[in-house]
Amino acid sequence: MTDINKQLDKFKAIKPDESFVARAKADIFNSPTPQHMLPSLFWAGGLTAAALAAALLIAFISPAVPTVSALDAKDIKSELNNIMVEFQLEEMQYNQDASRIIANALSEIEGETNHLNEDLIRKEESAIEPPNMEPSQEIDNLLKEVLQ
Amino acid sequence: MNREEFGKLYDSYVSPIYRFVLLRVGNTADAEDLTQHIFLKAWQNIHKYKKRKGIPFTSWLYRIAQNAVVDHYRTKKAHLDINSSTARNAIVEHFSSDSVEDKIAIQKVYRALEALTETERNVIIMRFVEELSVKEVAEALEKSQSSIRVTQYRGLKKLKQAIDDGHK
Repeated sequence: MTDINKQLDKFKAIKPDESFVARAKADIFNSPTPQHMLPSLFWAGGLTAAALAAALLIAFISPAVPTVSALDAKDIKSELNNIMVEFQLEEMQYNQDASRIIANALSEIEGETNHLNEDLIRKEESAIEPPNMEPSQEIDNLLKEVLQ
Repeated sequence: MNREEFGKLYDSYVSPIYRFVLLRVGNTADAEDLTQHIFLKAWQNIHKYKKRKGIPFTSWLYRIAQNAVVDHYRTKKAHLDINSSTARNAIVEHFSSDSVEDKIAIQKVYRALEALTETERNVIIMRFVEELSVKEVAEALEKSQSSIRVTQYRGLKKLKQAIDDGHK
């Protein structure tokens, strides 16, 4: 089995082209940032725009003065401000969450590298190859059933 | 702010993910496209990762990679032809400094991978090329750890047989 390990080890030399790595990284970061894609922000913006459009349409086609007066500029401004505050809060929350997730992932690759330990790999290898385990069609069939 | 931190993750994982994808699709251009797509998806969905508590980040990323490879075959109706000269050249071109004998040996092992099922190939590549733990592979492929161990045992046995047959 060590021989196979050595042969598979050779594939570890495969590396992407450096220019591709740099170009792809730039393209990824030039794409729309995650906070611009938050679904709640999308819906909040969309609903606000739809509500304003509907109110303006009603005011325009209806002769009733009270409807027009209901479109108080102060109220609209205050509502818009509230929405902007919600936008910012949500964006801050998103940034905090994303930072925490990325920090955890970075510590994962820096700290949890036990599986790269040769002794551990050897130990696992012996665990999956029990002694006297002769190939048996019956066992193979049973395993196949279990895996399906 | 997040870009810089995610950039570090990208730098750490871009080679392993590219390698995994290349071994699965056998085509440099497709491997590059898919690798970029995988990281873009991870970047745009990083906020969803927190919901998957207990799953290592490595497994989450490989799960995206595995799904991208499956989608690639489904949408392009492509299939991996390890014996094709394109696939062999795509792998060997990454070993330009190696001797001819080494390149032939690499081609033989790569061709032997064809004897494995898709799951066995995934498990063998993840375990012995990417050095993921059994737990990480299990999470990435959404299978139990015991199932991964059994698949690994069977995969190695088949791979050894295929390599031996190739030498005859």
